[in-house]
Amino acid sequence: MNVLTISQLNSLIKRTLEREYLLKNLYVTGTIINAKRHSSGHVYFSLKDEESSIDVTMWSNTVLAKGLVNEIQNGLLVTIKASVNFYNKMGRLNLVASDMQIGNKSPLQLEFDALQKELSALGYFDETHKQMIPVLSSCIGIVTSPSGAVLHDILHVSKQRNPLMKFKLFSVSVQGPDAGPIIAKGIAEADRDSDIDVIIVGRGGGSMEDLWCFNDRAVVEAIYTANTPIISAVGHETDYTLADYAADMRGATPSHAAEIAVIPLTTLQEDLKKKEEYIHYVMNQVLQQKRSELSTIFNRKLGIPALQMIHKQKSALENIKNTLQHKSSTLIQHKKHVLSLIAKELDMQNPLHIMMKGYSKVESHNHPISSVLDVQVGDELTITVSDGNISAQATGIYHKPNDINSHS
Amino acid sequence: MAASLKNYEKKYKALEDVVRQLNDDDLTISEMLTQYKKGLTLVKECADMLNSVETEIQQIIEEVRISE
Repeated sequence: MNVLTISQLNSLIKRTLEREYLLKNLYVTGTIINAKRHSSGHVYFSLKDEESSIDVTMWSNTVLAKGLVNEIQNGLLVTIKASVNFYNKMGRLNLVASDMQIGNKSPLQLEFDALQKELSALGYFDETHKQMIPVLSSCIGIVTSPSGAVLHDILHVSKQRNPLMKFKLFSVSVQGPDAGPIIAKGIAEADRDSDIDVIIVGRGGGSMEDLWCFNDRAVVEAIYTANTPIISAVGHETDYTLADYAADMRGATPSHAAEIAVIPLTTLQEDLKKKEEYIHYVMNQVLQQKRSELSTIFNRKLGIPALQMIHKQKSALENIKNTLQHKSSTLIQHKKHVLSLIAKELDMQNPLHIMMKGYSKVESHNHPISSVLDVQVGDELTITVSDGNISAQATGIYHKPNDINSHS
Repeated sequence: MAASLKNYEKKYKALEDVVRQLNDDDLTISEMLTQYKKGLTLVKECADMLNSVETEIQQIIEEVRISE
C-alpha cells in the first residue's frame, strides 16, 4: 500500500475533481449564510439547504460584472452557476460562482410545488395505492392527441412486441388551459371501457408550460380514482409532471410506456418455460433429497442391523458347529485311548509272550499237563513253543519231595 | 419369514441340546454318532435359513437403491 504525503494526496484530489465535468458550470440552489465582503471586493458566503452547506467564493470582477454588489444578503434563496474548486494548501473545497439569480424558482414551479404538496398530503401519490401493470393485456387504451408522434411510437413498439395487441384511442387535446379537464375526461372514459386492461396517457416533449395540463388537479384525480392500471408518458425523460407521480408506472418516453405495457410474447413464453423448469428442478431436488434420506434411514436403521444380526447368528452357528466337531472328536479320541489300553493289557496276557521267555506248553492226548500225576512213563508228549511244536516221550517221572499239598 | 424364523429358534435350541449331550463322557459311540449326525443336520438347516434370510435382506436393500 502506498503512503502518500499530504501534498500528493491533495493534488490527487484536485486532479480527480478537475477531471469530473459534472462538477463544472453547475447550477446550485440554496440559502445564503455567513456572507462577508472582503476589502478587495471578493465576496465569501455559504449556501445551505435543510441538511447541508457548502462554501462559495465570488471574485470581485464577477460581483461587479453581474451587478451584485448590494444583492448578496444572508437568508436569501439564490441559484448560482459555479464550479467546484479545491485548494491544495488547505485541503478545502468550495464553489467559485460565476453568476447568481436571486430566488430559485419560477412562479409555475412554485405552483407545482404547492399542488404537489397538497395532493401528496391527500395520498394521491402513495405507492401503496399503485396497481400492478398486467403482464399480458389484450387491449390498451391510449389517451393522447391523435396528431402527435406519441400515438405512432406507442403503436410501433407495441406491434413489434405483440402483434395480437388491440388499441383504443381516446383523442384529447394535450396543450392549453382547457386541456386538463379534457384529458381527465378521456382517462375516465377509458377507465369505464371494460375491454381495456391498461391505459397509457401522455404527450410528446415541450416546455414546462406546454406540459402544464398534466399537472392539472383534474388529471391527477382521474388517474388516482381510475380502476384500470395507468402508465404515464409525458414529455422527455427529464420531465416530471404530477400525472407521472400519480400514475401506477411512469414511462420515461411514450416508447418506454409501450414497453412497460406490452411484454413480448417470446419473453412471456421464455418466462413460462423457465418457471416450468424451475418447478421441475425444485421437485426433483426435493424428491432426490427425500429418497436419499429414506435410503440412509433404511440402510442405517433396517438393512445394516438386519444383516448384522444375520452375521452374528451365522458366527454363533459356526461356533456351535466347531464345538460339535471338537466334542465328538474328543469323545472318539477318548474311546480309542481306552481301547488301546485294554488291547495292551490283553496283549500282555498272550501265552506266546511267556513262551518267548522259554516257557512251553506240554500236552498229552490233547490234555494240558500241569502235574506229574498227569503223565506216565512212555506217554507221547506234545511240547508247544513260541514258533512250533516238539514231539517227545516221557522217560522218567520225579515227584517234588517237598510238595506235600499236592498229595493230600 | 416370521414362521421360518420361529422355526430357526427351535432348531437352534435343539442344536444347543446336542452340544450339551456331547459333553457327557459316558456317551456310547452309537449315541455319539447319532447326536453328531443330528447336530450337523441342524447346523446345515440353520445355515440355509440364515442364508435365505440374508439373500432376502440384500434383495430388499438392492430394490430400495434401484428406486432412487
